Amino acid sequence: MLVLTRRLGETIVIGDDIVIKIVDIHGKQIRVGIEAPTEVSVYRGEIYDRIMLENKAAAQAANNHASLAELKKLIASDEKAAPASSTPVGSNSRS
Amino acid sequence: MEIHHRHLGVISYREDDVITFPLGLLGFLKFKRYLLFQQDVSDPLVWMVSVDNPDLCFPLLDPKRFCPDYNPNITKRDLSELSAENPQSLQMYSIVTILQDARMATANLSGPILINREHRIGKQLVLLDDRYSTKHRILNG
Repeated sequence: MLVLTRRLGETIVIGDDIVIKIVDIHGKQIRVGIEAPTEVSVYRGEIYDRIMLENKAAAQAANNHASLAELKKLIASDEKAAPASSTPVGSNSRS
Repeated sequence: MEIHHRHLGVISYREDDVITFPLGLLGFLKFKRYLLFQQDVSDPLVWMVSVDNPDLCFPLLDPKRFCPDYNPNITKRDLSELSAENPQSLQMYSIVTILQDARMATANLSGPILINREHRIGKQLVLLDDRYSTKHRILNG
């Protein structure tokens, strides 16, 4: 990891079109400004990690077809017991 | 064109069935093209299958089925990235994580999938909202 020391108002440039600027320092909190093109996503690290890990778990778990079949049955019986209003899920049906 | 999926079988599709996620999904940024596929019209699960990596797929559910008050904040920037005029023109799904015990299956309410069907664009939102978790139990009890 590249570690740089910056003062308030100073910047870091990444590649040709990403700029990070130290906007404010207040006690233990540092406000960081980020300029990046729209095709580059910028996330708070801990939130990125949580969602990324859950995506990976879901993709991995998607192989578990026995459990998925069971889940569908449980959803159906759950809904018979207490029907919620559901918005129609329109999508292509392919054989 | 066809995808051969290990479990879902052969999925036939046309190019205009493909939904593009310009930013991909977190953890899978390289894969940007997906099909939405239901095994049966009455099936609550919708499959999001990668066109470029047929082993990659995600089961989706309509979050209103198990969280009727689900109301994530969709920003103007989100709408613009999805070429949508308003949130009503978007379809929203949650990615489901299935566990050995189906009763413990969870949905990721912090990272909903939004799709503009008309323009065939999708995006995974990253929510800052404390109300929603990445592991929301789908079933009661």
